[in-house]
Amino acid sequence: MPGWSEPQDLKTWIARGLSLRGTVLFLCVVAVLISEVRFSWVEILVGRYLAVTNSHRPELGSVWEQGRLKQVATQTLEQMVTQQLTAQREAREASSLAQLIEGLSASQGAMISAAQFKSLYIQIPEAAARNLFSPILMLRISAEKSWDRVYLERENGQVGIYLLDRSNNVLSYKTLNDQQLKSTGTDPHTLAGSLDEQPEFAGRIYPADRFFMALDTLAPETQRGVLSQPVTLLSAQGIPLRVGVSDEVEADMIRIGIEMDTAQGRQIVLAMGQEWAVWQVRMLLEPRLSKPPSSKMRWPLIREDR
Amino acid sequence: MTVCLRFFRAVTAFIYLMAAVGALAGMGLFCLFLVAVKDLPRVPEPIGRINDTPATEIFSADGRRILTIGGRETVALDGVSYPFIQAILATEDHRFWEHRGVNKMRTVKALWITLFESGKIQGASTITQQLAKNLFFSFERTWLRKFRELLVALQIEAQFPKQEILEAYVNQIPFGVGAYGIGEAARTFFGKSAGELTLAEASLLAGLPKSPTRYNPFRYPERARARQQVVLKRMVAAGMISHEEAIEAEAVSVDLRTQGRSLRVDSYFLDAVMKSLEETYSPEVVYHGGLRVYTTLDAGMQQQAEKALQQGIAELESQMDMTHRAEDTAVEDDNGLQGALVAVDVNTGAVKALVGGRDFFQTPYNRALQNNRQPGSGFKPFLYYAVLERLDKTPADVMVDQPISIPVAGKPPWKPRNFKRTYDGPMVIKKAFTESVNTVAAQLVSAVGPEAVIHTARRCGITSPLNPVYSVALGTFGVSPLEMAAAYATFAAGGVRHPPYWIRRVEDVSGRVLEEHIITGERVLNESINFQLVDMMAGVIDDGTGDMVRRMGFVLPAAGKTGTTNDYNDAWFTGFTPNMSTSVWVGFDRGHGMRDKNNAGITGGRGAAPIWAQFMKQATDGEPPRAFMAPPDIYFKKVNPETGSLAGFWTRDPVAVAMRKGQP
Repeated sequence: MPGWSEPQDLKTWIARGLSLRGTVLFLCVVAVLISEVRFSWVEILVGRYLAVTNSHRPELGSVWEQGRLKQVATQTLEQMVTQQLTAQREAREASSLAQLIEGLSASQGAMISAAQFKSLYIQIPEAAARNLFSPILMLRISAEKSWDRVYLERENGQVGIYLLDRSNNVLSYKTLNDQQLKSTGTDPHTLAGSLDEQPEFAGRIYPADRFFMALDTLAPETQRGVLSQPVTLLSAQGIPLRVGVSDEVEADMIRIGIEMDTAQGRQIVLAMGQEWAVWQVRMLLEPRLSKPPSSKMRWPLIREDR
Repeated sequence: MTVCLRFFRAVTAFIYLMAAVGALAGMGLFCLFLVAVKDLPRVPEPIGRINDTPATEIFSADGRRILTIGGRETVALDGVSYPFIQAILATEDHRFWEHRGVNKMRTVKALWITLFESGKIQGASTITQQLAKNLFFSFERTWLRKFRELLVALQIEAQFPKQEILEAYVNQIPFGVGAYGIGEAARTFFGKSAGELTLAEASLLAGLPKSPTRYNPFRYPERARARQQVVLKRMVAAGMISHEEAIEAEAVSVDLRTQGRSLRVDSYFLDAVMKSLEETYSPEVVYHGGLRVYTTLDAGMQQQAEKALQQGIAELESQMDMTHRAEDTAVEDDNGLQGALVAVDVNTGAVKALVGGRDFFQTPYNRALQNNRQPGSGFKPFLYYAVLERLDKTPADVMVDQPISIPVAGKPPWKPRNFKRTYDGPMVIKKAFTESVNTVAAQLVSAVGPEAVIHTARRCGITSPLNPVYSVALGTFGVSPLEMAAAYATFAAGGVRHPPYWIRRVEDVSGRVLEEHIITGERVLNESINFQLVDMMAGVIDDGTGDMVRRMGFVLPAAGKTGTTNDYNDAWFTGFTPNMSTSVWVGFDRGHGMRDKNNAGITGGRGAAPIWAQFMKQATDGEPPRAFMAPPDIYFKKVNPETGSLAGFWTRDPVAVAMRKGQP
């Protein structure tokens, strides 16, 4: 191929410049440029290429970030709502107050209707129920038609129960400690070991046969006052050996421990009795208790008689 | 070589050079394309999905929506007024219907100006490019970012019809004051729908996206007006309207929605609500989850509170020598005289109104919630309650107002003085309280102990840090107006404390309840002793340091206490009726003293009590008088204010005191 040489005269310049190949090339370039300006085919081609490859590109930028945040928000909310709905469902399905309380988590309270609370309330032992909310109070707020819902929550290891009106005003509330919580259960609460290991029963432990024999002689009302749900005791494992009466009275309630001989060893089944009723049994078990308290007062008189 | 030959040679060289430059530029562009396309973001489909985030809505106590966050309102293009479409096209991109995402001629021109005219930067973004930028890119100005924006614009044009692009654009452009998209903008600025905008309104709005803050018509109406004229001229130039129509539109007075300011009125309250929500639910849920938040805000009361505070502070400024102050203070550091007001429902703890300063947008610092201002004598009720409870004193017991010096272990003796610098000798405790006598308070705190005062304050709900030193009884530790209003509400509720709250209920977008406030009340104070204290506090308003309240015409039974700190840095008045407890604080952020033109200090009774009275008069308008309920063991007797003995008809200015049965 001959090497390129610069034209030495104007004629050659023009001849070379206006050659067919040069002209065609020039016109092609101009056509391309004009057609681009007129029809924007480069933009269209690039745009179409990007549209086709769109699905392979990353989800970057503020609009996607917003989408992600929305997704996080939706998931967080769903989780919260699911937890809440689960708690509400469990609360609705609870067959006893004890079960309902057991299902409460530290972070999640439960809202139930007043009607449901009433149905659970009537199941708990009468003594414990009276200790929880006075039936008269509940009748009063029911009659006033102000009582709408009940909210239960765990707080500082205790359980708060709030009777609410429609505007969430607390009509009455009760905070239950461990001992009171146990008393709301229909299943008897048990402790491992014997009554001798529980100082609260010291000096007030009686053979079981004597205790129940004494109880059997009392009026049915008194019997219910001592053991509100004796059937649940029957369902407990083992044979009763001894019965202890606590020396602590709380809100007119007194704890009764029934020592059982079970396959696993000694166990104490705990129950709550009303103080006045338990006192009746104790008077039968310890006749000295039945002496009038004025006997001491009479002592000087007896001395005078001498 | 002839001249002609030389010319041809130069032309040829130039052509080759241009061809080489062109080829290089082409190759460069191609390389840039390869680089830029690597991390090019994916375009969502449909492009309208940018607006599908659900809005978080906040409602007042009466169910009125007071704020919407996120969840932009999407208006179909058919629902947008035609003048606005024309105005925005004329202003932002008059060749929108013709180009393919980039206006080549305008881009070349802008490139030329930016490259060759020093100090000038010319923008040439089409509506599609602006949409691409708003959807995907930061506001960082780099050539690569600009090129990527251009590529995305080309893709958007290739992928979506023009109508869809324009609809997406008008629904996401920022117009300022929190309004995104034409629907929100039309409602925010004119209180109407996007379809009802007139030419004058449309041209005003179309001018805002260029600089929403600079052309904010609420704040800079003149600038907005000038910008509107530019828009109208462009519309004429683009042949969209006639010159006459432009003149006519210019002449029309545009009525901005006055309610637009209410967004600002509620802002301190909303700020508090938002912070609570963010803490509980995380910012993602609050801004993108679509919550329904029902608050305790009484919108009417909030406006009354805002108005009372604004007027009260303006009145105080007119009494004070502000010019003298301005010389002392660097202007840029100074927020001027500020104030805060919190009103709490006594029987529930619901915060009905909360104002944390004069202007949220000027100083978003929420003074209603910050616990860094000393309450001064406003803290004395906690002392007097502790004294009545622990020392078994009665309001009729006599103390001596005299100079005192109380020894403090390891420190110089404490020698508090009275504000008025005089000493009145013997007086009953009730009088010492109503006249806010510091020497008597000091004697009482030394007798009962600062721990007892702190214990009482804590029972009433004061949570700010308090140290067991004598001066705590005189309010030397910072508290917040919210704490004060809520703690005084405990007195008003007969000693039952209701923790303050501002969120009643939170629901998700489907209406499922996430949170409900339960109105718990806990008896923390003895009802009878509390009543004795309330009676003494009523004396503050009827005859004591807070009598300004009565002089301003507030007639309902009320009780309260003024508070003024050293050098008149803070002026407080916290008081209550049986239904509502309100705390007002006034002062400078940087703790400068407040003095009038005669150099007299501004006290709580003079600075804060008038604002309290003004607000309470409006807030309780139409409310029947309701007295504080006296417990059954309370009886009243009139005593000699100096000796405490039973007053006879000859006794001057006898003082009626509330006594408990069994107290002599």
